[in-house]
Amino acid sequence: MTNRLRVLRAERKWSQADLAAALGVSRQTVNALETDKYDPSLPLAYRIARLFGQPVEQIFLDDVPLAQAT
Amino acid sequence: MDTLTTRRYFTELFLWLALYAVLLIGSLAVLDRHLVTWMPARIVVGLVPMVAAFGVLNLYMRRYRAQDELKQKIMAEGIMFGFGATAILTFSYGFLQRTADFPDVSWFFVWPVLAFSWAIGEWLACRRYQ
Repeated sequence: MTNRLRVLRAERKWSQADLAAALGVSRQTVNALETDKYDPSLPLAYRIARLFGQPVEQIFLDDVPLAQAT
Repeated sequence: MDTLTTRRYFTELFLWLALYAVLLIGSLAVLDRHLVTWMPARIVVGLVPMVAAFGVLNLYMRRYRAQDELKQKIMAEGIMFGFGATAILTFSYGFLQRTADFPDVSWFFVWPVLAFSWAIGEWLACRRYQ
């Protein structure tokens, strides 16, 4: 799964630490999310969506075919 | 959500370890001087230092719950690696004792093996998400 977190954060001129503080997670978590090394839980994904005021599916892009995902 | 800060965690850890040291010294003093001779009582006195270990266990669980989801995943992967590595190492040593006459070792060695492999596991997991 990929995401637009880095772009959205850059648009708001936030640092990773700013975003981490807003979400209540560590900076390492934000970095892992932005580099696609970690997919967030559903509650965290919704928290991110609420923060940026966009639907989850516009932030997180499920580009893995269903057959590969299972 | 538990708000156990790193500073508070290490402060509490230090206090539990200090209590462990005090209990251990006291327990050994009582047992070595044979102040208690009745065997069931000696067993209880010998296990008294482990009271502090339960405190450390409780503290670690609180620490785990206070982390965000990625850190929890890293901690869990570290424990998983440590558990598996310790199982493999101790079981392998058991075979070597049977087949190659390796010497008996104290059960005290299990914890250092677990702690070391747990630390390696957490380090590896941490690297994965950097």
